[in-house]
Amino acid sequence: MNWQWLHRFGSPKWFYEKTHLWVWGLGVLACGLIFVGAVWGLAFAPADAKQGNSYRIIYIHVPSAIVSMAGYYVMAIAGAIGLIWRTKLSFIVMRSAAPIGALLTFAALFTGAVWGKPTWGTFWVWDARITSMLILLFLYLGIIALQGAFQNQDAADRSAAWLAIVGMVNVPIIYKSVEWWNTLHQPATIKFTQKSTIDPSMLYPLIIMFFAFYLFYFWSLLRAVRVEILRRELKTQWVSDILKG
Amino acid sequence: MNFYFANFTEFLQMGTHGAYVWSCYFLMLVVLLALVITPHFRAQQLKKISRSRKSTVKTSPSSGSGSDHASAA
Repeated sequence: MNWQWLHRFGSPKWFYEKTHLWVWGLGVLACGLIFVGAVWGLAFAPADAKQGNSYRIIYIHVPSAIVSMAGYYVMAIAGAIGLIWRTKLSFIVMRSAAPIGALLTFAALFTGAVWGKPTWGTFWVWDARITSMLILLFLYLGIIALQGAFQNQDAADRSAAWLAIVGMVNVPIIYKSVEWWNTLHQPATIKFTQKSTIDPSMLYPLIIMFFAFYLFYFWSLLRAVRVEILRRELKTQWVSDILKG
Repeated sequence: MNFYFANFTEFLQMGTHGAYVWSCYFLMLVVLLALVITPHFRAQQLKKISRSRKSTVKTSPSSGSGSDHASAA
């Protein structure tokens, strides 16, 4: 089988040159949709019959939580590709995805805690969903720390990739935790196989925010990857030409 | 689709939940802004490093330009 396309795609220089326009497109789309979704969710969606207005936190809490979990897969799979095919770009993606995922996980935990206060009467409980989400944050932070602990770039990349792959087991645990254990956290309100238990007037801004956060994630990842490419290839002529301009 | 609240003060108060809702949205704004700004500052840093390297190369011409490293990919 011809793997040449993979190695060309794995070339940092090729990737950097090809993704220039994507940065602008994704950025405009992501920021525009976040603005629309946030205004719709905050000001135009009706209040919840039981929770009142505190439920409006859902429009940032759920998308950031979902994207922080999906982002973990992105990071771990990039690490696995790096270990198997030894493409430079995949480790760069893995390295760049970790801080973005950590920040979004922190945001999901924070918004969840604040939402918990008026809803459950407490900021924090050690229940399965929240604890496994905290483990996700520690995994992200562990991968960042491991990357920084090695002088040798290759050793740092490879060990961080292994930790990322092993930690992948946590993501389905987070996802299923509300079904496997009897927790305070409510189960999913949006279901793909049955009718959702959320009113359409509240659902539409949430769907917009899902797309917006995914787009924002890939936009941030793309920009972080491009800078990391410049950092790692700093000694090459093509990078110094770019930085000169 | 209409503005859900009677007036702007009610919108800010969010019933009794204003502090919870707005603190969450504020934190999320800070997080998103951090993600927007960070790559920009890292690129600026790299520019500085690249420039200072170039000036050292000029003062010691024997060190070479290192242009062949690009083919390592």
